[in-house]
Amino acid sequence: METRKKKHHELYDAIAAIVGKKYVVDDEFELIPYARDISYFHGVMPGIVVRPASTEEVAAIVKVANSTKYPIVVKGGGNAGGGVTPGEPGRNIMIDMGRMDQIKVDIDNLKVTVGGGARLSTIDDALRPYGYYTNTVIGPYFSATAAGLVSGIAGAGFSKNVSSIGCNWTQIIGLKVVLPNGDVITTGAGPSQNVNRDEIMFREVTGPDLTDLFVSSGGAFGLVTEVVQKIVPIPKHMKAISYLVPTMEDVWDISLELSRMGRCPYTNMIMFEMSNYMVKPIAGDTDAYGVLLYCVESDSEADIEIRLGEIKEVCEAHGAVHGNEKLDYFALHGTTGTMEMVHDVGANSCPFMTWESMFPRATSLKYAKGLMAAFASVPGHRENATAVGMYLVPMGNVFLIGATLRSGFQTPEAEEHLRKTWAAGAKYMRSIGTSSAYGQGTNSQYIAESWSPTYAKTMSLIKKALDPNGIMCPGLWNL
Amino acid sequence: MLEKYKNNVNACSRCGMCIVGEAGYICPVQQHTGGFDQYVARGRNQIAKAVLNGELEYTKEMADSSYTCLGCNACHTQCTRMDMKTGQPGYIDETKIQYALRVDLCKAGYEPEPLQEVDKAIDSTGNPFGEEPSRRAAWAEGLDLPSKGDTVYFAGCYASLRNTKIAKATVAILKAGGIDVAYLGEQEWCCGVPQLADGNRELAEKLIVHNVEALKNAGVKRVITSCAGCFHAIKSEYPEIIGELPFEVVHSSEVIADLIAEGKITLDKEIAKKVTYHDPCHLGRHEKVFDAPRNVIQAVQGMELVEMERIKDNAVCCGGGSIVSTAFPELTKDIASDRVKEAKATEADMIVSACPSCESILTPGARKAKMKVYDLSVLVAEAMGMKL
Repeated sequence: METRKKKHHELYDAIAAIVGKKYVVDDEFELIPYARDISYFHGVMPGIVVRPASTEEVAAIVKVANSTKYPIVVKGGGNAGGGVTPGEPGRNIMIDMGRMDQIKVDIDNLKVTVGGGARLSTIDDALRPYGYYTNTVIGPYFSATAAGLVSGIAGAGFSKNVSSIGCNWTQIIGLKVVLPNGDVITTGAGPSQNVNRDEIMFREVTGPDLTDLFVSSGGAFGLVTEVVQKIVPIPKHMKAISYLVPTMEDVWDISLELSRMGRCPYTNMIMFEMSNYMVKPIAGDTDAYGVLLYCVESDSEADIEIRLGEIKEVCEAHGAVHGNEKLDYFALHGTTGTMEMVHDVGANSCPFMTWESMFPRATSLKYAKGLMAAFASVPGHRENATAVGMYLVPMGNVFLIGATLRSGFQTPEAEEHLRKTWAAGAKYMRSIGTSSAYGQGTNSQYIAESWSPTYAKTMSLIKKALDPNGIMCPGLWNL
Repeated sequence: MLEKYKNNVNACSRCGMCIVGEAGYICPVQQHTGGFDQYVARGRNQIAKAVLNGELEYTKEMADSSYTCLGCNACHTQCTRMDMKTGQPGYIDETKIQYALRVDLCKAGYEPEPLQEVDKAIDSTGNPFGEEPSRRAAWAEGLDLPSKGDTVYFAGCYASLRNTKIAKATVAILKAGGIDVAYLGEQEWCCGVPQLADGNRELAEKLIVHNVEALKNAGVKRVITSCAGCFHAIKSEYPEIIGELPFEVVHSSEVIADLIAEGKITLDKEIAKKVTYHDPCHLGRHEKVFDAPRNVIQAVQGMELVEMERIKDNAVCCGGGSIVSTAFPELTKDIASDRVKEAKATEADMIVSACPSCESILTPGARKAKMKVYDLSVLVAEAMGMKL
């Protein structure tokens, strides 16, 4: 019987001394699960993986990495879709944040303080008995982590009610971050924060607010180990409705008209093309282009009815017809980030390649068509081999255009085809200046291409000031 | 054998639904080890994929990691990956993937030593304890059970050789309900569930073929088991290996629930206790028998059923699944201790289960917590005023 042949990573003993041997691994089979995210991007093998329990342990690991110039990369829920942070294959110290999952509810101050590794669903589980929730994200509800969402996705994530409330950064009160030199900084104001005002919990009065430097940074400037987040009362009433829409143009006409209304009637909305595997089976026999799913929340049932009426009027004026009960049910859960949709998205739409890009409302149809045409231009584009499903979420002045590329076949050829298709979309997006949603891997590099020379120089200066040895998530943002 | 599951392994999206679900963290092994991804399904699948792609060679450490999987199916229940061609959910069978990998590991000589000892014992005696085959039927002495009949009680190794009260109670209840049960005696061998889990496929098939032949020879139309492991193995695993069975397989909890509902037995003796029910994985998640045992408990006069936080599909394994209790006893002890804590939090006086293995695994921790663990049949027999 063969036993381990591989030598321990050079820092094994030093890191084990910080966290204990139980929480550090470096054997080949133990590293393999950490090589890839959920996308079809090629993976990067770390050299060692560690699961610290506290900010202090993370800081100690970072100090060791700094003194030895080993790169650090990070894993939250593993739901990144832009490819893993490159770092240096085989040398990376990967920090798995999963053990830092503590949750402290503070109802009096309407906030919750969570460890970077706390899952979104467990945060809601802790808040539900009090009648509150966090307006975090519609996506991988059970697997994404608080810090992963904050640092890995644009705007700290597209919140459940992004259509009406905006991105999750608006909900962040403060962050605890381990800087590349091992110092710990807390942004925001409050007890025991770096800006130490016991009775003030409002980051906007701390002077220059550093919180957003770390939001969507991918970890390039520091590792988020704790997130302080606003909490929101669970609305008393919630209703949803679905509309089948004849054409892509009708989808935009309806969405633009509703977006222009003084008061947006829906709390959240998402549109799926009818080819989407989640809606197709429940839509029944239809030749509609797509389905609009609206969720309306309120403390007043009468208010909900009025708003549903406004939605109905606009939709029907553009030839849309009410879906069915199953689609309404899907709308209720699918647009609010709970249950069926989040179950199915995680398991069934990936491994995948995805684009989520923000375009100005008025011109977004043109760009959406351009992106879809780019995907379709790839030879060998086949149903079930590579299926592209577009979705649309209105977010204030922009529309989020999402396109998920997934394969029904699990073969190396299918994987390669997906990567080619994605690359065609990437080429198109780079030609117009990408605004993709992921602050991770390859996506971060493409986004950085859009930076002006001055912006890039400033970012580079910040990176050098904070991380002179370049050990923190190297390879992100072309820094 | 892993090759058979190649498409399923490759279908894993690494999404992490196998880590946290509606009832919080899913895998007790992940929670009682360092928690690395190698201990959850998405990591196990990536390791299996690397093996299939020829990128990873077997080592003892890698094999040991595979052998920590409890086969409890908690991750499978959470995983919603569907077959893209049919739309059917449950495309990735995480337990079967691990079992298939273990078949290959076992053939290559990587089966953990304690499990090899179990295999040797079963191969020579027909039971995992290495007890003389003649002792298997000792519990049935004086019961005058025929060796042939329409209905056979398949006692299983634990109830035959470790906690014989379960076997005696089950037979007594069935008889009281008017069911004439036959018993295979020494012709009943281990059901093979340990070998299906430890990868010794050859031995598993030997046991399965023997048991099916013995049951056929007995002229059986219905097999009743009181062991959740035997129940799942015979009902669902046997047909996959040797084809459709010419008999029905039911668990004693289902039969007892029916007898109560039909008024054929009555649980007259009052037992004024608060109890909580532990769902055995093989009976619950694997076979979806959730209500029958609960209905039985609720039929006991004076008894109050209080549920633990994680029940039914979300129930936590006792820690002994897939003979992890033999390969890694400390891991089992930790997991069992946590489950007992969950039971204690209900303020119940006792834990009831419907699997002799779960009962055995939970008992040491329960003793420390000043709780008792009861098998469902034993509880029912007491509630019927029987002296065992």
